[in-house]
Amino acid sequence: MKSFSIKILLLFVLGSVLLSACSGGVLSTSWPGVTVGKDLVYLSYQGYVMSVKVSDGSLGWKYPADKAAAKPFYAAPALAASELVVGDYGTTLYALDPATGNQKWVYDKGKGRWVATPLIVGNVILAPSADANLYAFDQNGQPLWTFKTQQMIWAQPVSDGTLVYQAGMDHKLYALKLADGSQVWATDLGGAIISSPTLDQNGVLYVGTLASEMLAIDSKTGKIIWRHSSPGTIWSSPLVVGSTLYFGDFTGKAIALSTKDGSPVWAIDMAGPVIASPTAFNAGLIYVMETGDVQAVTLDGKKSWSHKINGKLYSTPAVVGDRLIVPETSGDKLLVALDTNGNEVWSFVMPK
Amino acid sequence: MDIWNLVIIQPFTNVLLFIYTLVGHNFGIAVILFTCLIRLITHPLMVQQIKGAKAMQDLQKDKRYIEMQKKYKDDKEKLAQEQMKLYQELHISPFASCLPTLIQFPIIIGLYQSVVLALASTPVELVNLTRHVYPWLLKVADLIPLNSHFLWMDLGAPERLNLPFLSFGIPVLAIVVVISTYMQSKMMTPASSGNPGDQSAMIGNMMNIYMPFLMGYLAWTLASGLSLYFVVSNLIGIGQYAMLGQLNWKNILPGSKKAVEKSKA
Repeated sequence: MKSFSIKILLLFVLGSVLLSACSGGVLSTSWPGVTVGKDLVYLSYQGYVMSVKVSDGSLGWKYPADKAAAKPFYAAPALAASELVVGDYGTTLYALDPATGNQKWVYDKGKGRWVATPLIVGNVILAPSADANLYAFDQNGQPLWTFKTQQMIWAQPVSDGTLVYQAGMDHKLYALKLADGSQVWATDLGGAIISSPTLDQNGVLYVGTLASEMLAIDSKTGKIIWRHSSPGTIWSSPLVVGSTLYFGDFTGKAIALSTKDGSPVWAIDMAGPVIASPTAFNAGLIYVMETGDVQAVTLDGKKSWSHKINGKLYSTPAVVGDRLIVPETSGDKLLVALDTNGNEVWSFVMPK
Repeated sequence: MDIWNLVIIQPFTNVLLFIYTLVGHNFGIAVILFTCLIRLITHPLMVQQIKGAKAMQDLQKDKRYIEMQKKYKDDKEKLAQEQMKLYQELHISPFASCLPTLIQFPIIIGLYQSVVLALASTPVELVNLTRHVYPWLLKVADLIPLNSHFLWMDLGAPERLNLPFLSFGIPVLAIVVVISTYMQSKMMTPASSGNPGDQSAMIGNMMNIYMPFLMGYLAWTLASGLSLYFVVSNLIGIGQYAMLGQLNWKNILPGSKKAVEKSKA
């Protein structure tokens, strides 16, 4: 009886340890973020921010250099001439030297996690936080203004140089003055928005929602011009090429709409859910799927080459010259570089 | 989707989120009602557990049991054989009191994973949640973003009450978990046989000391949604025992315990 009771007690302890081990607060996961530089791509994932040489996929630098100081990073860094700004999954925002990875300043007074990629407009750094605030900083990390929304912000803002457009999980798209953060307009889009709006040359914003809609909004007034229902939820920013809007959805549809009125141009089935934005590459489009498939599609909706990667593809690929850099999640590599025919040129694995 | 996800996590998450939509998007209330539901479903197991524990206590007072402890104290194998014979004769299962407890443990783990899943805090976790939602029951667009605030707590993160005059947060919920777990385990422990060599009483006392701290540690480190489950579950557990007339108030009221001991003397 005694030994049986001890076994029960041990079982509880073991179970508790297992329960601790699966703590969401500590071991949350997300996908890697990638930003393109001149000859480098900047990658933030797991404990580090890294620079990777585009020519051969070798590591440039890693921040922090010390493994003990590693913190979870998921938001892609924002790049300006002299600064690389990235927030961690804690509450700290870092500015690094893009050439060396040396830390320039930190802002640690945030109250939420940094899930979204910051945006740098001139001398202003715009950093959306999961604490529901959009923070504006100068280039030395001094706060300029803060704008509070009603829910977490996971989307990178966009700007035309005068106004800032910020989409929120609170279903709203906000237009704010870049100079002081004052609100110009706010429009309820009917669903949570986790991706950045796309602003075209005519001043129209296009944004997808988790209510399975793609919407076009007048950036001056916030008025909805048109809305299009898609079969599945939309997780990423659309791509505008000419007068056509391209995006994918969770049901695995790749969709093209007319920017004029949202009328369908074409829709094709992909191998799996499309979470990332399509990428313009070699006069066509690249769609990546959760299933690990990289699919090249012509602008008129015809599939061309494809490439299979052993991992989940959630992040939007980056293009540097004739290289397509594909970030992967939960696979054996972090980045895979493909040429214009979909052949693997190099891959980058997490340095030990 | 693996079997654990299909059988435990997905149904739990959908029921939890369905309750959440019914109660005006309040995740705290949803966790409380979901806990009540779980305790209601597992109530027959608890009754079985009480019966099993009572049978084992009665067995330890049985003459034959006491005699065989003395007779075979140096022959553990023979003692085990004789005990098994007695179990069979009296139709007692030594696992009857432990099995329901074991069954509840996957439920606790499942609930924790459901709370974490529902409170998706990164895009990839939100993708995962979307995949678990039954489209015929719930609409993702209506659910997201989930309101994880309840009273002063963010149910997706460990709870701390921050007061302006203190430089650190007070883990109120963890403290309540320790107290309620201690109360529950003490009140549910039957009165001691008074035998100083009563091994089950010793183990019970050990559990009564360690379990509250273990649960308190979990409440301190894990999402407060789970702590809320622990507290509500403990209170309902006490209520269930009270309804079944099994509460032992003497264990937490030292004065009355002494009075009982005196009257025994």
